[in-house]
Amino acid sequence: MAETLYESVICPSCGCLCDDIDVVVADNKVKSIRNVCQWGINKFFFTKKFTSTVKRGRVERPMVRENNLVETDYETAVSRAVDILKRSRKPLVYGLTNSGYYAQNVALDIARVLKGWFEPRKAVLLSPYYSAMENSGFYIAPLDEVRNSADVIVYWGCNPVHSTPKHLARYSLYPRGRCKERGNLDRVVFTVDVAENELVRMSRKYLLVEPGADFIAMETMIKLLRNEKVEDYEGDIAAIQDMVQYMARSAYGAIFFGLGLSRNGNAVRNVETLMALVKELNRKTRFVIIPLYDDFNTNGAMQLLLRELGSPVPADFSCDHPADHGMPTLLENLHEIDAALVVGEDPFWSMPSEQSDLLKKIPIILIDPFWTRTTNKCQVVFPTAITGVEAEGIAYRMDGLPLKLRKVLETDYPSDEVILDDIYQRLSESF
Amino acid sequence: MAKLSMYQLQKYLPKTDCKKCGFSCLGFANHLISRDVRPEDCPILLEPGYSESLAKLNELLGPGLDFEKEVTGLLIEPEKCNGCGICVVVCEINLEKSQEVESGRGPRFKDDVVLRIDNGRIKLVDPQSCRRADPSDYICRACVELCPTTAISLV
Repeated sequence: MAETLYESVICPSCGCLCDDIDVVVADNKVKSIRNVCQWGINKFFFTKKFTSTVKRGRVERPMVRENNLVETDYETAVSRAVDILKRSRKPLVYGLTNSGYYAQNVALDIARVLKGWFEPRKAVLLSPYYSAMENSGFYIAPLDEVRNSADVIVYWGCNPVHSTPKHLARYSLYPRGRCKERGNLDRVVFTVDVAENELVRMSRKYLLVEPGADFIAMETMIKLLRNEKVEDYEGDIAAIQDMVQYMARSAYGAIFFGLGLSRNGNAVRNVETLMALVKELNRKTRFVIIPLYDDFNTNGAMQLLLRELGSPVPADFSCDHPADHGMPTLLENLHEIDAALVVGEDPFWSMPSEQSDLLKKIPIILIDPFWTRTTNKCQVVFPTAITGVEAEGIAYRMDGLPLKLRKVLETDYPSDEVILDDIYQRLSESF
Repeated sequence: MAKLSMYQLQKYLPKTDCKKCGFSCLGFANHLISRDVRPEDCPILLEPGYSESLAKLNELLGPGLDFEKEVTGLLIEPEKCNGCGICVVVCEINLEKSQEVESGRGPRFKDDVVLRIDNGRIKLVDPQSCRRADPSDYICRACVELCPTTAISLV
């Protein structure tokens, strides 16, 4: 049995897109794999996240609903999906954060042709981030630059140990850089979160804030940076003063923020205030801000929206100006939606019940490699190849660097891009 | 297995502090926990009157440790590990043996390193090269102190 070694494969799990994975493949199965974290290994062994002993059930064949889900051939499934989408007045195209850039591009075309609503997952966090750049400026750097130069690292509303496990060792605190030859001894970490986590042990100061009220701490920091008086802050003012002092004195700093900032629906205010803080810090020193997220191509969808429509907000093609509608939430729009095309995502697991209850009433077309909670509630299900393991694709790292994902396993399943392209071709013939 | 304390073991030692083994009885108990010595290294315990104590000590300490634990004193619990790779990056010997580790990348396939992430979990590949295997460098505990999930501890 011949073994093939694939060196420096890019891991398609989280936004880090680590490029140091070595995979040994024998008999078209992954035999062993090195330098991969527990989040990444589930992609190669088809197991559950952080539970590498539990296998996930693969969808074997395309299925359509006739009372129950019944297996059918690919052509029938595509025709059924096209029928559902053609009949709908405003369909939703959702998910896409586990697909390649070209698949996302075709999905955007489908939404455009159908005059639907295009929303990538995690847009709730990344849309305010890219929108705030308009006011605050473009403070971003490659992760390699952070590794080489950063002496202050701030984690705000995120826990990299769980969401992006190799981030600490690969890009931020522990690696040796060109100007930081002693690694973690040359750097200081500050963490801001609503509860204590694993970062307590490695942080200089651990600032606790109320859920969703991070902007109060940020505004206090901005005041301290401007040498204004702070009287009304109720939390740990000494920790904030220490943080501000360190940040202002540093030569180069990086702030990583996560989904914690979107608590209580305050994502826009929190992210905008954080960007204002970074702008204020950049008057004194050099600071960059980068988002942390757990689906590998979340940034790709944002780059696509910026490139195609010039705006990072979810696109509503039923209007004359698809990206010029403020920043409505998905919940406001779900009442108008009458069909959904979900790609590589499990909305009945990730969405709050008030949103997923609305989704139960409409026909759903699902493109996903595995059985999920959503599978049994769908009208049409397509099995697909896993991007980055069984299919090639382009993904954008958290700092905006595009990387080409390789294919290590052969499969008969079509990729997301092929399925979406077939649906798009049929739709464009009929419109 | 519950962690042993040196006072728990001292109860079964002769408590003569004769220092024939090189330590006081309490010190000998401490070295028993870190598996530097075996109960048979105490000459008094080998005398006929102490056979019950010797049997009890051997029962408490269990069978001989694995080779890697005996050499390095590191107790690795792979089920706790999330594969973050911090221990691989901070290990000084890894840095010497693989240039990639310096920039945070994992060691290459052919690199002969001490620690590496194998199938998503930490693995002590070459215990003989670990700094802790050398008695003069026994103080090194970078991987133990920086592990965020406490998957690596000292025996």
